Amino acid sequence: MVTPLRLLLINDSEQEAQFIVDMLSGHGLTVTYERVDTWAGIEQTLHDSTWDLVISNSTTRQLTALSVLLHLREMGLDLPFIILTDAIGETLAAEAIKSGTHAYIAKGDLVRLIPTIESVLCARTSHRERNRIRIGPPQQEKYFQSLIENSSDVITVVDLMGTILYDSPSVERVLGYRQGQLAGDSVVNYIHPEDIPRVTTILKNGIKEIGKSHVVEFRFRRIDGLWCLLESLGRGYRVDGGSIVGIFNSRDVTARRQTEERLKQAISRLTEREQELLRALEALKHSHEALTSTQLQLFQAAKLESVGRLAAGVAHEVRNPLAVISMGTQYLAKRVTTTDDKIQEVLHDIDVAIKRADSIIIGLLDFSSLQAINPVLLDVNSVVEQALMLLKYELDRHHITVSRSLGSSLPPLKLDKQKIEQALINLFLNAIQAMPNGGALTVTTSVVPAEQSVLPLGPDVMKRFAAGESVVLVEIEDTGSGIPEADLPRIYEPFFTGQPAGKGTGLGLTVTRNLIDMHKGMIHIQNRESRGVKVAIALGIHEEKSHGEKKSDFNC
Amino acid sequence: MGKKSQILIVDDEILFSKLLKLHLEENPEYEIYLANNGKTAIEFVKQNKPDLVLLDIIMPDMNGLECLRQIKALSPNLPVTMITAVYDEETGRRAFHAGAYDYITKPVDAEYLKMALQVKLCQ
Repeated sequence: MVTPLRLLLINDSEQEAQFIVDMLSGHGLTVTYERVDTWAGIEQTLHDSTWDLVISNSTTRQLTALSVLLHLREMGLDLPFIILTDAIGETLAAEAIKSGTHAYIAKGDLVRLIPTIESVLCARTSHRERNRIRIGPPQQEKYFQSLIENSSDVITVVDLMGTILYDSPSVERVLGYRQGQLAGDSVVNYIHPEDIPRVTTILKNGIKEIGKSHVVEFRFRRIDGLWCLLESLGRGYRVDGGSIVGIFNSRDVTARRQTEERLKQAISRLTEREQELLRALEALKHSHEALTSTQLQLFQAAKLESVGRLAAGVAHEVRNPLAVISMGTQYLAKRVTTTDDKIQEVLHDIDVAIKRADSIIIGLLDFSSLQAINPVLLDVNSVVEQALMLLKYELDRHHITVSRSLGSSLPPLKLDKQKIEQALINLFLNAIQAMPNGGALTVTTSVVPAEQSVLPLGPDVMKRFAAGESVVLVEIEDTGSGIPEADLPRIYEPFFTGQPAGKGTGLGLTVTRNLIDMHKGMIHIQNRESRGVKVAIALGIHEEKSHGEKKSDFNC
Repeated sequence: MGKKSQILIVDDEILFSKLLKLHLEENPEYEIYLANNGKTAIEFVKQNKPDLVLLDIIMPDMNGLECLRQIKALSPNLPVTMITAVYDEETGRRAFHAGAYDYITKPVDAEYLKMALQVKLCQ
């Protein structure tokens, strides 16, 4: 790649500027240029770009070559400077030379421009050589020189135009260039276009504040063409002649940045993975809970089944002798003609005991028959009414008033009529027993979203029903004696009863809950805040309604 | 009528049969016989052609349902009432299918049973 010569022309005439550029191009030089003819133009262009050479008319309408030259020197810029003049006088020539002009050429003698430029640029390189040697090792600086030579950082000296004056030996290891290969070239030729403004800003402004350090990061093209990310610490330094140079310590941070990037990605992957793990853990917890609950249900079912079989066997074995006793007392009661009341009383007591024993057997048999249900589509309200009707006598006898608040638009449910009726009767009987001297029994039915049944049924209801699923809620409240709080956890245990001996089998709620479970429903019993007990039952609604379901499985 | 009604009670629980016999014998129109297993019962039906059978369901050796089928094979019009300590719907259904005309559970209300038998035997 041919590096173009960056030419700053101070000239009033664009035509003349173009002529100069054409001439240089005609001689095989690749040139980029800018023409300025005001102070503002000069300030701007020095700020925006870097230059290899200034060719200035001796005077323009606003400027004189000498004033421009002095200004550049004041700025610390040691640019090669060629003056074009119509007729140069001795005085001007002397001034110019004194001020550091490298050459002046009469416009009539423009053919000299090419060799002049070549010699100026050549002299310039040797000037840099001198500069480099100046930075080189005077005796007391040998130690420092050795530090530079051995530093793993690339140490570069550039002038304010970005021309590289010196690079340390490590440039070979870091960027692949031989030491000195870059000298005389502009840094902007090697810097990634996107990063150039950052670097030129530091060059233009930063390093003029002598002694102050600036850190800049930019991509620098290596000899193999790849981009290398350099982190540079730059600082301005005024050399003996007064011009300012920038000294940069640059370090290849490509690997570090890549590592950082990889680390960042790894951290983000780890965070993601952690989230995944947390989600997996949560899912595991859920399935563990579900498993435990299923296990409990299976265990419960197995227990129920074996208890059921046992109950049926026991019922048979006990009922036979019970039948004998019953027949015997019936016979005696008829045949004993004594007027002794005590004998009649004893016979009556035996009969009561037989009935009690038999009611326990009935409970056991209910328990053992909890295997299959025969569900048909039913209106819950009609089952409630039927159960209340069957108990009307008992309710009236105990002066219990019944109030109903039965939902008018309940969907039909798939229920085993007998079993649900039995469950309700058990619950009503409990209420009656809790209110021997009268009270109020309230029955409410309604259809609600499952989440609204949490209050009466407890949070476990959401394990059985999905959020948003509709359930039919049956609530039974009495104003009786309530259940002692200590007993509440045990109320479903078989043979656990709050009744005095002889009243209640202790199987009623066990059977009731099993009946509700068989319908995939849920029951919850709690004391009311005022007094008495509140029972809540939630039953699921099955969507596949009324399609050939009306005919039940009556197998006659 | 004239002739006494012969009633056979089949039950492996002898104590029960004996007491039931005491109750039923209060009706002088009845002659009560006992069998404590199915085989004896079938033999009795063959020999004596009773007017009614009270048949327990759960018995060792031959159960009541099997016994019922064999009795019905011998004497299709002979009324049989099943007696059981434990009612279950399935067994009840099978008994009716096999030709039983009634089904009662222990403990038995003797007065009720006597009335029911009287009604059946008068038909």
